[in-house]
Amino acid sequence: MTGERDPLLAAELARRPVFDHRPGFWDDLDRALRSDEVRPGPADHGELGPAGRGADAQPPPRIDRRGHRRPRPGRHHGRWLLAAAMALVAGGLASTLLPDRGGRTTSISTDDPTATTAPAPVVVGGPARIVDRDGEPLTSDLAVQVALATVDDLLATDPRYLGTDDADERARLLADGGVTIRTTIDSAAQRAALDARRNAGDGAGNGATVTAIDPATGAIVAAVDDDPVADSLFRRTVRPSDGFMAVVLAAAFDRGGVVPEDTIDGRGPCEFEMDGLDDPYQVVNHGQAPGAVATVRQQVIDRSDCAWVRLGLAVGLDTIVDTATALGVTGGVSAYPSLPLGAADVSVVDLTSAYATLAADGQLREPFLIERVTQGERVLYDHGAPVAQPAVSADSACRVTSVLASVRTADESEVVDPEAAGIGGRDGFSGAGIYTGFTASLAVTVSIELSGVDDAAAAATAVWNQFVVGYRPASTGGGGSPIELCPEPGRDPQPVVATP
Amino acid sequence: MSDPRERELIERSTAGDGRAFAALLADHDDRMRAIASRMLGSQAAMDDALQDAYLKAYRSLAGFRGEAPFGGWLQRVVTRTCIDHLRRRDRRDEVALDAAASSAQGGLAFDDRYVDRSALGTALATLPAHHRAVVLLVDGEGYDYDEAAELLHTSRGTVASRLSRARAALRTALDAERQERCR
Repeated sequence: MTGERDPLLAAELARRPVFDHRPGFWDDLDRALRSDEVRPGPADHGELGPAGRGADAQPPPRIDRRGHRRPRPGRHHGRWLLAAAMALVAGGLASTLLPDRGGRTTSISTDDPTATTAPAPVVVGGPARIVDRDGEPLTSDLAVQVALATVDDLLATDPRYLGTDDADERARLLADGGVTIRTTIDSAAQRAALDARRNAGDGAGNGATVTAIDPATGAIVAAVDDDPVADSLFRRTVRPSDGFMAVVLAAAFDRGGVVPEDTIDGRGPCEFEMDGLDDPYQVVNHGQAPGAVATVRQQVIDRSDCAWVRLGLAVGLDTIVDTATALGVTGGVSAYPSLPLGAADVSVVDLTSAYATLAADGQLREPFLIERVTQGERVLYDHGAPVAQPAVSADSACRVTSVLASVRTADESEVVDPEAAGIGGRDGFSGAGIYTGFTASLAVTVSIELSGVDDAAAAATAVWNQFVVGYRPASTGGGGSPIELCPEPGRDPQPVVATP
Repeated sequence: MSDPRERELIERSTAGDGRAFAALLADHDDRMRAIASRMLGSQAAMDDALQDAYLKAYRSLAGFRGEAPFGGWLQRVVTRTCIDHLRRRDRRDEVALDAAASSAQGGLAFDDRYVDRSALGTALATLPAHHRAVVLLVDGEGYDYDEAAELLHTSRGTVASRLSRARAALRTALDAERQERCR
């Protein structure tokens, strides 16, 4: 008992009414206590403290989930069957024997026609263990709260992982089923992310969200987040701002027939008449820059807001939404004219996955956090080999990569990895900073939403760089190479014209 | 375990004397009713959980070695059982169930003697079970994060994140209710 209570809520909760028992409560309990079926025996496995099992203690009757007694197996089945029976009894016997509200005691059939002598599933016992990809326990000193919370959420809501649709059974398996959940988290990556946050930007990186995905598999290898209300990484959203440009470029190159050396008008301020809007949509270039007509590549380097919106309108806002979906962005984007500027609330996993898809030659592999769930020798879930889905062509992915690599070079940012391609930015409304990008073997998003950081974008970039440099994954196969020569477009550059 | 009467009752209970165990429970029932009432919010749910917990405690009495107070051991069994009931109820329409249960006891479906209809009770009922459980354990019963994490079979970080979200939701609901009252 500590001072971690909220005093106001504690006071309110202490005022909740305390009810009297219903009439007959003690009579019913007394009948149940005197029943031959309910007698003191071995301690519940792992739940009520150390078991004090006597040498001659008999295991309790085996009761299935419908309250039917099962024949007791022979002794040769060993201790695990006893544990299984005890676990089942812990979850079901008490309620089975409870008198109902009319005072009648529910009977247990001893003639269950479905009874079988087949061995029950192997139940090793004990609470679930959550381990990293190497089988080491995930510990809080690696700041994996968000990863643990996400695993918790996945197991509670998705029946695939524990092999049963029965939520009670899933809860029981997690509480006392001896289940081991092997995640995709690489503890070395977690450590590198924490070091990067601590060391980058004189501490400005503290509080950064770091999400890293292996493009070759879709495995989430690192997840660090201080958001106290993020109960699932998959629901943790960020404002991509400039980071969304990769999606716009992918739409333009893959579905709009645009190439990086095509030209577009970046002059500003600019305004656009939009169907359904009474007033024109007005945009001012960053720093009120006058802008110019230049190549798409240069407009991305220059962060020309007017050019980006014109490019988005030329390609089509719906096309951008469709491309985002193909790249793995599952929600949070709408066909508004501000979409090309990254005005969206996108899951940090989805955004990182989109970059991972571009790193993997345009092949989407669904991001995942749980690799395998086992119970003793029994496999309850196995993710299996990742399945690649074509999102955009390899040529288009290459061109996006090429432009993002140009941005990194031109920015002279702290991102020093010669194979890195990425882009950073700052949300004008919230001041949040983001850097998202990839190498051949890793896609990473760093987001900083804390107030009080003068330049959150620079801090995010610094964290990104230190993380990528500090963490060199052993496996680099499967993903594409970010920096490579892309195919010639086979035509001369041409102007791109926005047609709202 | 210094109370000779309690020690005797435990010894008799362990030997299979159900009446002795009932007497033992009666000594601690006020505290257990308080815990189960505050965690579950209705008489019907409290009674169900306490029946479960008391029978489970009886069956598991061998696990109690007398190194710690019996009341503390029993409280842990009751708390754990209440959490299980919260999780089960979360998948059902618990307000309807509580109302039906109360109604069956005399047509008093909205009688405050049987169901917590306070603003806090209503706000708690809107929380997911895993959020409700953590706020009830930490803010209601005074468990620290590590103890709550152990009881909930989750991590300390998960407790912290869920608690933060649950507190925020409760404060919002309570503020809204207060503003409504002040109009």
